Amino acid sequence: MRQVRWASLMVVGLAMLAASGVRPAAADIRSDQAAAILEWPSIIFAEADVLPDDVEVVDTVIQLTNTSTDPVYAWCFYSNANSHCSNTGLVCVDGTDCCIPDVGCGVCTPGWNEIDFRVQLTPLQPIGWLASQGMSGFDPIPPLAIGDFPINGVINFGIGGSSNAGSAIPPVPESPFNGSLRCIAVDEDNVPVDRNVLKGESTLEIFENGDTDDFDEVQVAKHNAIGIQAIEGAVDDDNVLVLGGDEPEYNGCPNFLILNHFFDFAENPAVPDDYNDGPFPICTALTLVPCCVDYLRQIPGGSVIQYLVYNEFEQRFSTSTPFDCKFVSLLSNIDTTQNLRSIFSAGVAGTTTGQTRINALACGVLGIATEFHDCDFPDELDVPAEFNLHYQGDREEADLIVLP
Amino acid sequence: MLRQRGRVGLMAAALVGLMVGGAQAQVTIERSASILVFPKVISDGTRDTIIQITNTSNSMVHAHCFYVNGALTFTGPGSPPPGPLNPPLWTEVDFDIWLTKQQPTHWVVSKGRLENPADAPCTNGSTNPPTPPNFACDEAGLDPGRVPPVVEFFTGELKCIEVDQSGMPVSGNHLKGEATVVTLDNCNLLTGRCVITGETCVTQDDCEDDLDVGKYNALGILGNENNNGDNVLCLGGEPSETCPNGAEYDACPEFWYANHFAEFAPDPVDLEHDEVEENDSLVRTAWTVVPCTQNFETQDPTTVTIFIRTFNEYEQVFSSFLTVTCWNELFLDDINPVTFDYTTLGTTFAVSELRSTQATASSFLMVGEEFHSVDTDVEPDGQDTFTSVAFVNYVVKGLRTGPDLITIPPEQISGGAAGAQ
Repeated sequence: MRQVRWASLMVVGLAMLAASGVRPAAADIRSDQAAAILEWPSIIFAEADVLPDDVEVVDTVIQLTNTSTDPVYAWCFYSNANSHCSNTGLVCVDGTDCCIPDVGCGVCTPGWNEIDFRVQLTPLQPIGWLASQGMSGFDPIPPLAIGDFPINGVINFGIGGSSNAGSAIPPVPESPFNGSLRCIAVDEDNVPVDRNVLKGESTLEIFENGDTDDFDEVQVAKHNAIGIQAIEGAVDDDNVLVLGGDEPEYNGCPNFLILNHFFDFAENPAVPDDYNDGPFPICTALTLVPCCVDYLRQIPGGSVIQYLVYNEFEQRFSTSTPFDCKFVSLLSNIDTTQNLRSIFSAGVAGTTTGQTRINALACGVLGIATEFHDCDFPDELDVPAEFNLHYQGDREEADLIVLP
Repeated sequence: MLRQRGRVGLMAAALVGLMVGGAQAQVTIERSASILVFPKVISDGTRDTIIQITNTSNSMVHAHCFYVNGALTFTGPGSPPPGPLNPPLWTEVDFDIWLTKQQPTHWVVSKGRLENPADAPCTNGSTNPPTPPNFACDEAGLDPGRVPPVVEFFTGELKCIEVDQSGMPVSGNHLKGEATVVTLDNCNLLTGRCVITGETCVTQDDCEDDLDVGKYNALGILGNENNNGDNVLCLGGEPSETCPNGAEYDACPEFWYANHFAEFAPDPVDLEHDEVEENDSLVRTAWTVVPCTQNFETQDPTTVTIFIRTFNEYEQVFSSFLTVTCWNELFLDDINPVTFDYTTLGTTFAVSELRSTQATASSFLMVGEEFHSVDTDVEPDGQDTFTSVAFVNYVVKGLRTGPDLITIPPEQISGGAAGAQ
């Protein structure tokens, strides 16, 4: 009898231990596992007319895969974060882009809109497309042309009679395009489902011409799509997806994003002093997108971001900034327009590398970083490398995705 | 009574399993962890690697690190192929680092990081008094310890294990890391071509000042609360004589899912946008694989045999095998010249599912590297192949029943980090 009581106490103790969690609070957003919602924060496309002289095209290759042995539908949303001139309607970065000689200047108005599409993936099927081209039509006989779906459900079929029939991916709506992509696992009626079976990647490719018409230089950078996993049995059939909070359908967005980075303009320490025309300064661009978004009322998510910056002396700096829709900035432009005076600049921080902890106040955020290893800002941002951020903790508040 | 005891014991075991296993326990690339693995670390004169490691906690953290050199014993012209006549070196060098709260640190593997409190900090410079700017401030900051440089022509992995002040392994889950592989446009005297631009060269002066960079997140293995701090680290698995507490760390993955381009597939952006119609681009992929089980005490390299199923976009499946001892990086067509090839697969994109074969005692960790090349139709008139590289972390699924064991020489856990201080 005493033994049973002891054992019961142990069981209760273990259960409490298990329930209380023995690890630091861990975020459940994952880019290293399949998930029900995928977010590609950075989708870029631009043609030669808006690019520097030698650069011919910047495009994004998007890869999406079904990791399960059953078919799955993905409902996807491109978010267009371009701003446009009030007078010409052209894409702009700031007001100076909207000035017409002898006529005057318009206003560069921040914009946001989305276009959505639907894809059916057969069991274990990988697909890929260019942001500039999308996918449409079918090519049931190999070799498969880029931009065509492989299984049309008429001539050829996947396992269990599945196919890509009914799928179409539009090209991004304009050049230049700066936006993001989010795909949600749904059933045949567009109802979200708790199937963590989607994985994805994005490859940024920059092609240049030299003296010939032929592309003769390429630069590539790659990151994983960020996955938000559904909680088994928790996803209901309404159009509001609840990420985290008290009654979550999906895992919550992270409390902190952690970015290891080089401070802007620090010289690449792996390049020898006598290497050609060095030095090679490094800059890092941060891309953030909100977890919450209302596709029904076309209201983009936004948040206020706090940054805690640590250098290698364990000294701490901080700053904060608000954003809507999508945030892209060099680190050293987050707190100032005078890069060399930024807390993210090596000359101010004092060391080559740092850690930045990113905390979103209003709405959770997800993000990636892009390093440029030949940075002569603002004239040149060259040699990119992308990587995923780290996550820590779950936000207390729920983030909502409202579907049409 | 016996039956009741057995039932209670099972419940307790189940709860312990729940506690230490955790439904989501996986190798991770985006959470702080107790073991960091950098599967691909290169320093060969043309490529060099910058390691970044950060303490994400508010207390001091120590780590015991191992460089494992997976280079072949003979690497010169005429060397025997990898195998019994030319095994990997598998030499290891270990060292300790310690990081103050939230401290980031970094080093270039060819140079290491030596202790020097007088390292000049970065500065924008000033006019009064006149001080020049300094952005070549590589070693400014609190030195994390004495990090040795790797040997010349190092190709291998770096593994860092969180330990306490006395050197005992602990499950703090406080470490995160990244590796940046920098490629210089050096003149490859064997091929007579510059490494990045592909131009013909006789000396380094013939190559341009290009640079290429790829970056990946270190693979993290989360520690569990029941770590007994001995020299045998148990990754996954049930309680046993070797692992009396069961899984001290999360298990290695059962499956890896690698999305990749078909080997030698034309680059789709070049194909769609280049107005010159000839197809002169291609994409290749290399995988770097390291076994999860490692015995630094006996220095016995572990061999893993991996079964690979590759699916093309038509949902057609091809299979192949790969055997890796200690460490290896292989292009897909080195693994199998048929099953990954663009002409075989018939589609640009593919996904491969990898797992250890049932007879293999160890799981494995991996990272991918994509090589995108243009102007591949090399001609005498100077049209040269230009190559850029991107690293990719792959997706994991399931837990290896394990355990995988990392065995450290006992002396290294009884005076390591403390001794370093």
